[in-house]
Amino acid sequence: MSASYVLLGLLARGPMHGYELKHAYDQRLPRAKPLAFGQVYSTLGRLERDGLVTQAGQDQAGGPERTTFAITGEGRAALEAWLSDVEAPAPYVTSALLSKVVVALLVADPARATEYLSAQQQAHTTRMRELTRLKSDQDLTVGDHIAVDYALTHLDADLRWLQSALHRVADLHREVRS
Amino acid sequence: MSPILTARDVTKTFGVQPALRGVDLDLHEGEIVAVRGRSGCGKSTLLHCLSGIIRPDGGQVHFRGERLDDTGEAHRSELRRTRFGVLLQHGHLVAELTAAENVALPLLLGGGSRRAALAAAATWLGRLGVAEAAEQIPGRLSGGQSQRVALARAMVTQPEVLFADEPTGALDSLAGELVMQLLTRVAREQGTAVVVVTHDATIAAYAERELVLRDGAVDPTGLGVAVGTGA
Amino acid sequence: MLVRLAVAGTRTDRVRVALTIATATLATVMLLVAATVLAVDVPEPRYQVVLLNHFDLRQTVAATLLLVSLPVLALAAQAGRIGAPARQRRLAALRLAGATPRQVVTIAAAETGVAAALGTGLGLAACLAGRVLLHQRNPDGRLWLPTDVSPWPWLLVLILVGLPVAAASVAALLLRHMQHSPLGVARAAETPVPKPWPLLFVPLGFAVFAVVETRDGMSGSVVLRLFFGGAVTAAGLVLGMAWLSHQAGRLLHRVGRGPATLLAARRLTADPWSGSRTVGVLLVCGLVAGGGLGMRDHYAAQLRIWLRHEPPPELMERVRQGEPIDPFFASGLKGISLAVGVAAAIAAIGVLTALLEAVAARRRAFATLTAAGVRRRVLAQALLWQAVLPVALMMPAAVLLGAGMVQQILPEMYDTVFTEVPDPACTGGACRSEMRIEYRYETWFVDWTEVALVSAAGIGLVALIAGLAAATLRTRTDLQDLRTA
Repeated sequence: MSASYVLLGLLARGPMHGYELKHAYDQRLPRAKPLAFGQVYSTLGRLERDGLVTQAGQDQAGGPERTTFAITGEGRAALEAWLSDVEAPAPYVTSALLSKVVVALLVADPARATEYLSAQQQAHTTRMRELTRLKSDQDLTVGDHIAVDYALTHLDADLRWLQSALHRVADLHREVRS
Repeated sequence: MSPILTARDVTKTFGVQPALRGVDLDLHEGEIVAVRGRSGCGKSTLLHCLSGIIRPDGGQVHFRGERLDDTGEAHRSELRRTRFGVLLQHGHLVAELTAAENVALPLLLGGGSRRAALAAAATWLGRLGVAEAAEQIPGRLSGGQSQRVALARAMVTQPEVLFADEPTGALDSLAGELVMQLLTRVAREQGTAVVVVTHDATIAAYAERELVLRDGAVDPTGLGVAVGTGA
Repeated sequence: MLVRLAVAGTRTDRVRVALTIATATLATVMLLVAATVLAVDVPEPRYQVVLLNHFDLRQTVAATLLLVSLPVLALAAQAGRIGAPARQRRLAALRLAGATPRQVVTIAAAETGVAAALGTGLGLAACLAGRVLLHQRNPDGRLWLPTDVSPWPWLLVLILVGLPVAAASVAALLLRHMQHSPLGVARAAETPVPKPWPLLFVPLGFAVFAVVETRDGMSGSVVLRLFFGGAVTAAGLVLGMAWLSHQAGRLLHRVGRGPATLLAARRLTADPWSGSRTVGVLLVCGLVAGGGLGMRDHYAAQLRIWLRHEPPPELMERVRQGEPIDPFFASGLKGISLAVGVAAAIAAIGVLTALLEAVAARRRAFATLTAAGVRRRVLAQALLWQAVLPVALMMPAAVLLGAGMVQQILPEMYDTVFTEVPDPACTGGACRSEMRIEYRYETWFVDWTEVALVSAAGIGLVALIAGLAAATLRTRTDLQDLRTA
């Protein structure tokens, strides 16, 4: 489930309280379903069990809200592996794609992000070529055509969205640098 | 197999802004290549340089071993007429001639006989499904029809390379799809290599590989935008 | 095949071809008649038309005809510009289909050349027919017109061959930029800023007039030299108009206040060549008219001198009643006035076609402005400013220039004044008085009111035609034109 990886990605920038994590998640992915508090802690627990995060400290007030979590070396490795994995080009925008692009742009350094995004775009493009070749096939029914068009249109939309996301981030980086 | 059309370090500047900054391209026989990028990235300029419509300021373009960028305008016109085909976004058909006459034009300009040229024109119009438009003037045809007529004109001399610049830009998606399908089909049948310039990914998907330009140079990442550098 | 391409065209193209043929015909007729008159070489009066019976009057007639043919030639050159943008597009499309630059230039030059040749042929036929039809003898055995004389062979050939060749050459010259790119006007071509150097042609032509010796009368070669000098001046005016329109536009931009002047000013600076296309012919007419006014004043000065020496009272009576005294003068003046009138009519046609074409070509721009809420009245005003301003500046200058050039070639006049001067040394009775003879230079140039009238007429003509063209804006700014052409 990609929520784990988003949390890992957020923790990769530095340790955070659970409360901070939830807010950061909602902020970064405003259109996605907001993460429930319970979900945050259950995800964090799972990550801790798998050794990907660790509790870095406890505030004197105690209680789960005040625990600081930090990413471990293994956690970083898992995040890397997830980022290297290209999302299968599917005809509907999966939250996985959205999360991955967001994390790549906001978390990873430019070179890494470029690598991932370039590979993702290649995958989409290859799939579009396959589907286009399919359309030239003579014995396609109308229903088939419609289905292929659906896929193509959405893949095209993914690519366009990718472009605009790249631009926004580029502007943001420019602001931050200056 | 060695490429039939090569471009090496092609540069071109209009006024102050450089439109192309050192572009390389190899085109092999019968290959279909797309050149993609945002508006203003120089892709149309690259097409014009490759097809000899304009001369680059720097770099070299070779077609079958012969240099293209430093020959005279008359020779390049000749080449464009006999061995290249050019299809632009707005067909640039001669408004006063009929569709058949437009298609026959390159053959007639080469000194061919009227009858043979018109016969070839009729064949091509039939192949592209616009035979009924033969005696109409372009103004009376729909966008899709006139683009197919323009494609027929580009192919009538059986060119070795077809250059297409946003061939479906002015068409709706179904008409555009038809044009692209016909284009790729006849190109494959004739063994004609194709260079398609477009900003549209669905059109680029008709090609076998693509080259992405960004600000006049090739972008190896294929993204067309720089990540995190503000470009 | 190339013929088919040359002939293919829309209604605008047909108008252009028709106008080229018509002006070529007219020009040929005038040139041939002038050539015929030059070739008349008889000592005694042989023709009924008085003007043709004396050598210098003949030369004057020939010169007048040649000078009046200048506006016709200018109109012919302008006729070739009608529908230029559409033809440009057609030729660019041909280039894209693979036509070489030479093929394309040949097509355009052929269209113009053939039309001009046709016109020349028609002109020749008209002259030949005229020779036959007008070959009448009155009871005294005199011919009415010199229908028994043929022009010098070399001049004949020069006219019949030179006119179409010149037309085709001009057409080819105007298309020389097609050499470079088949995209033609695709890339937003910045119209080159006009340079003032063509205006140098004006003093050049003037110099020809100043230098040529006319004291021995006007031989054929002198007339021809004057013709070319006049043509050079006319070309200088027409070509220099572009620079002037550009400057006028900048001036208007600084000085003008409302939206109409802003539109007009921008239009003048952005496309100064349209000014020379529109009113170039009219300026040449102004030049010729100025020459005519100069000649009239010359005759008037001669008359003044003559009258000062007490002509018989009966003649004085007729003068007071305004009757013409000398048939020579009368015919001469009538001829010149007629010539200028014809030239003006021709120029009016030229201005009208050019303005209509300009409005038609910018249909889409006008429609856009109308859609954006600019009132048609403002557009009409802008059109008027754009058309009238350059003419208002140049017309008086052209008229004065014509008069000045004529003054260079017509002879100076001196009045002899006899004064009785009493001998200062003599006192007393019958002293002898000396008769002193003085030669007083009689000044003449032009009648300034006439200059003002002619200039005002020219400017008024342009204003009228601009108004007519503006009236057509109503039918032409349909919003339908906003659809992608």
